[in-house]
Amino acid sequence: MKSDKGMSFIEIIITLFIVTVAVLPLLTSIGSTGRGVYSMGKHQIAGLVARSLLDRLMQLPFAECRNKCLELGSETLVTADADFARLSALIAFDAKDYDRMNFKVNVTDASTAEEQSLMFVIEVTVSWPVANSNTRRDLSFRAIKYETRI
Amino acid sequence: MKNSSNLWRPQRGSIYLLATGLLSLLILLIFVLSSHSSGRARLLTLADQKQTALYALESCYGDIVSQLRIRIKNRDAQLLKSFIDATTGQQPAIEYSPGQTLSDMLAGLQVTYKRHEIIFESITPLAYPPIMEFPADRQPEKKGFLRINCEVSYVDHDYQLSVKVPYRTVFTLTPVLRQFIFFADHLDLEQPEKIGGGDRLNLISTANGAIDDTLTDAGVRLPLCLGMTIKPPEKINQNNHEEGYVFLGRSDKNIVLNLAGEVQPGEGDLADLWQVTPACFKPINVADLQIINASINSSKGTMQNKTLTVPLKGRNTRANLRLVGFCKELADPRGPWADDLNYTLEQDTAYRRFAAAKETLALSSGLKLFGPSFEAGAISARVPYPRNIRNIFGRVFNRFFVLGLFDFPSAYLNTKLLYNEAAGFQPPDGKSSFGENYPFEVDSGSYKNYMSRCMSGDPGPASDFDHRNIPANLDEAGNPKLFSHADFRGTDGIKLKEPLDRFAGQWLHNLHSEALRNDPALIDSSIIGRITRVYRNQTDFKAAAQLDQGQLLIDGVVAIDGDLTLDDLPSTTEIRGGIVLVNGKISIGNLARGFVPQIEPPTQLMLTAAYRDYLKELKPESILTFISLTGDQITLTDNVQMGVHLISLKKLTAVEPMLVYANPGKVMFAGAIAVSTPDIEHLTRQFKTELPLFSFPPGMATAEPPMAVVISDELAGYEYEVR
Repeated sequence: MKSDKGMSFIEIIITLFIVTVAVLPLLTSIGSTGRGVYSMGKHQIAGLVARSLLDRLMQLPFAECRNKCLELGSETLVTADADFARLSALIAFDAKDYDRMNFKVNVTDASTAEEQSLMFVIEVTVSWPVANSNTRRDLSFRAIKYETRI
Repeated sequence: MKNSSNLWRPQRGSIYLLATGLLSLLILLIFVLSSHSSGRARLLTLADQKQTALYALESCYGDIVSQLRIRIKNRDAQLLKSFIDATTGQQPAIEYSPGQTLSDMLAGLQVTYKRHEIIFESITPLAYPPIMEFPADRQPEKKGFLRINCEVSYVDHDYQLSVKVPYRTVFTLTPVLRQFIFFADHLDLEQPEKIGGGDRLNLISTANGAIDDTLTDAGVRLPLCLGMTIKPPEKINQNNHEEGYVFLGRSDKNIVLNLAGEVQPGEGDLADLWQVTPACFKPINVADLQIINASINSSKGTMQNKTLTVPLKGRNTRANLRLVGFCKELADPRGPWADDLNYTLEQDTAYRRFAAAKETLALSSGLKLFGPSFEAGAISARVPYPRNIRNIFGRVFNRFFVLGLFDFPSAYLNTKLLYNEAAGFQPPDGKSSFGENYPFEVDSGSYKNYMSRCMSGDPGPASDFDHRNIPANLDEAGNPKLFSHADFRGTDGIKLKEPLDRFAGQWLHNLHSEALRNDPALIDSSIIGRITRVYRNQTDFKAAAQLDQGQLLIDGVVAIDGDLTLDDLPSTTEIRGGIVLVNGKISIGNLARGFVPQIEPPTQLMLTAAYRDYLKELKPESILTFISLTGDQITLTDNVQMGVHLISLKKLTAVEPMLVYANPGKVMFAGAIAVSTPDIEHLTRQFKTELPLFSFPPGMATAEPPMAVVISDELAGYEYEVR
């Protein structure tokens, strides 16, 4: 006589199959969401780094600011920058938050000859690697530095 | 009935239920995660947009301020006027449109510029100290704010930034003091004696117009030196203010300056008898009388004298009144002067006092306030002296001799008019070489107006005020007059309600003084309230002034909390004037402004039109004023300073050397000096071999003193809004 108690092997196999088929895309979605959350975290930190760097540069006197910007013209690891090291220690960020995060400062001269000695555009770009990928994402802010001693 | 333990035994089909529940939970979790994640992403995106817009807006207000500054620098008259005349709620006169760089950046960011607004806010005039009466019809200095509102649109939102930028309008020349080429409010401390070795103002001994170093009298200070000569650029100028006034104080103390003689016409650098006008021979009516140059030989050479020739009643007779300054020739026992003076002035108590210390007769003033050189031909000897070219404030008196002669040349009548104070005295008739008698009869005045006399009177304090003291100034009617603060009329309309020696105490304060801390009202009503930038030290100041870029840009009133040492500036340095307040000592090297002296000796520069033109080219807005707020010493490490105003004033009870040349050479100074005690003795010793040249750029006395509009680098308010 056939018992109605318990689960048959076939039921378990079918269930596992269905669950597997259903969960796989869900897991993918979880992974994607996780990566998104991770990336947003990085993005947030990158924003902090970019703002902090741009504000710091904007505080400098005109000529000094330009020199500093040109000095920071190549990709630099955030963790290699002494000022950020101080900042991250101050707000207790983990070094891995900045893992392979780079910044770069680009200077664009003023558009007209008259404005050349009076202003230039600073663009601070911070980039970070996308998890499990060889690509990088970046974030940038732009502002104009003006000569105040006219 | 089922056993309760059966409830936990899996039933057929329940596996599907479990799987469905699990899947639901997973879906729910993913939904929550996704929702949270997308919310966070939206927030992040918004934050980025907000930040991008903020930087764009900061660039916008920066562009507005930058354009304002450029137009201010370029002296945009309308814009400057709008700042100077500003009242709360008005707008500066500027048609602003975003610059190209800003426009390009905004386009690159896809940010749309929407609008801007610039409004003056909380404008208040800066107060003046009680001593100053600022004219009601002129705009005072002011402080206030520029409210700048900018709005941009970015993605789906509008963003607005509203900032409050402080600004000030301040004069870049020091009121009152800017009109004085030389201002010494405690010079009285340098003249404890009115004549003699203790008189630190009168210590130069000259012979034949040159320095005499032969004096050995113990009472005379050796070695001998040249004077601090302050000479106006123009030989004749109807506008006295353009020559720079002089104040010798205190206002209630007498300063007596001995006048030197002159040996050869044109050797004006040691002759300041120009200050004496025949108007002092009252009550003789001198209006149409001749003044001639007369010379007399002495064993030391020829001396030139200014001589007033007064016709007498007797036909062809005249009285010649010869002005003789204090010089070495007077003290020469072998020269004619000693006999003349002894003979004619025997009864003059003042002369007897000088004669008792004869060497002191050779002293002349260490401070020389030159005017037009009569002998150099700038003024015709046939016309009366013009009004004194330089206004001298303070109780300042001159001292010199008058030798009176009763003269009829063709009859060889040449009788000395001896000193005699007796009322109604009538001298004996003059006798010609032909034996004829000529009575001395005058048309106006009495004998004592014509007799030989020492025009300094008794050097004792009681008689310093009598008619025999000749003030340096004349009033409009040509009468001698002492100039006090009540006579000061600033070209800008400023008047003074109190004596000049009180000005510094009300206008200048140590940055850290107790008075400022205890009475904040003092800040607004003094130079401290005009400060537009403060530097912690001179390094910061030099960086801001852009010295390293070949510039010295002040443009306002800046303060340095400490000493200032400014080495020689390259003559190509671009200089924009202003006031530098130094809370400590000041040391300045060459500030030549492209000036290359071509004339040797440099004192002759004054005679060249090129130099006078150069002085006129020194614009008021380019003048550099250095003020030691602590009243410390100002050291000039080199000898050429053009367009410089040096100020170090404080209350003193003893002389301090407040102006020192570290390397005195051919001093050429165009500007003004205000020091409580310059220590003339020390200075003149420094000028032992080279006569210094102090001159006044007429621009410093402009009726329209330059006003700087200084927009602060700091912000007083900041509001950012997302709409």
